Amino acid sequence: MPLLEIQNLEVRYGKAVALERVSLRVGLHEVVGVLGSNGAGKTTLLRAISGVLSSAGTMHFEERRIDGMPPHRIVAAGICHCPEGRHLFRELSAEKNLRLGAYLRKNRDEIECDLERVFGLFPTLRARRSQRAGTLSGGEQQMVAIGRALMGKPKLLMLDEPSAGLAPQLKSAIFRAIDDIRRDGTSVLLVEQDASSAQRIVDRIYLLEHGHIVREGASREFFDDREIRRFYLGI
Amino acid sequence: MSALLQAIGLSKHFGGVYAIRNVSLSISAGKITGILGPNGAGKTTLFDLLTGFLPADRGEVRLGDTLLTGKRADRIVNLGCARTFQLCRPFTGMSVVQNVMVGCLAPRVRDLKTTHARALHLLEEVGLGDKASLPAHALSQGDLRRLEIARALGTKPLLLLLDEPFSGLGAHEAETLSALIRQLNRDEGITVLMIEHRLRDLMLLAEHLLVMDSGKVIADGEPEAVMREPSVVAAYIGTRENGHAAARDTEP
Repeated sequence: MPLLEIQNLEVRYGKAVALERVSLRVGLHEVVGVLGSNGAGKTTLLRAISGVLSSAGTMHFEERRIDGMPPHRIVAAGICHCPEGRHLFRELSAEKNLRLGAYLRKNRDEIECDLERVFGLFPTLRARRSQRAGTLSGGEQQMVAIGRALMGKPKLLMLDEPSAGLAPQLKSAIFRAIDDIRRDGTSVLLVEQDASSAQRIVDRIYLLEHGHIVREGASREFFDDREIRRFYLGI
Repeated sequence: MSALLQAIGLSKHFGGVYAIRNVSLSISAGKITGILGPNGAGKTTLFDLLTGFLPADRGEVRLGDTLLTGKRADRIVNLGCARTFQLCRPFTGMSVVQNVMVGCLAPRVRDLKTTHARALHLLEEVGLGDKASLPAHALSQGDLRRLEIARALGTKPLLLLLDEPFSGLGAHEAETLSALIRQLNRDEGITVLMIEHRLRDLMLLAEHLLVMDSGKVIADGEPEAVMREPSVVAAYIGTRENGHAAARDTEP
């Protein structure tokens, strides 16, 4: 049984169908990528899994039904979502934003330990820990958003465009971090437009087009396809 | 080549942190200039100072012969200097075409008889023609980025400032947007100043590069030459050894 199993997911915005007959699974310790053009439904997919959008179909996480659950219970079940566009608490400090990611956790020592881990990952944030999040640069805000999701100590981490707005140096740091997170036993569901970076760390890929999964497979064979390379990697 | 935009000795601090330190720059008319730099270097703050979204502590900005320093953001737009944002900021509750019409209503171009038609034309130009009547909040991030550009173009800018226009776009979509930027520059003579992290896309477009680090301009020149400067490589790409280590670490 995979960690996350989704069957026949469907999401509508009014009459418009955003996702239809989407079935997908994420295994333990697996990094799964979702690719597709803008408007294909990638962000909608993550939002439906998080429970912030209502959907039809079934979703199991660790063999428990999670579809229809409110978002906070889905977080408690072990799914953390780093949303597109950061969505930080702008008036709170960087550190408070990070700590809020651990809101449902009890073990203080572990929380401190994970905060150190985030600061190790993003040293800039240690220096800026007491600065108001709204006054951080775009890239720094992105680091806080990723760090906040990690502070929830998820079993499944969902990242929506984690590398958006990050300079090359940090971008490689992020992808290395995702690889480390996987080694620590967390599964990752990754939506990323930067397919050439994603390519190096994802095990499997789902390709979304107009709300449907049109292709799935191992990352390696996927990117061996000439047509796919041209479209997603631009080479 | 004459300078369209000139900044002299700009500084800005937030609390004890200097975001911009004594930055001077000159943007040539008719060129596409790229701005690079690590996160937190001050790139967006520089845009905020140039466009009047933030007041500078010191220094001045000129567009041609006109002093922009101290002018309100909307006045600066009306002088021909328009911008887009890193995180898109559409007018929610309005349709896509209405968003662009707002740009078309800038006093410098206002003509109520043609506003709607111009807005529709601009949407065609950026590839959103079929989405004109949708509410702006229904657009995906990639489409919002195009909407922002169309809205800025509505003001018929002389200078267009783009803050990470390729962020969140796939390789194919970035190519389409690159073609649009090139066309705006070549055919309509719009001078472009753009912040972008996607080096490959930027290097194909930019004729001139500025590199920032810790609130200062650390390099300024032809793209190829700038990217060879050791200080730029160290600040932005990381050292060679790091690069190799990164590649090795992420090998499946």
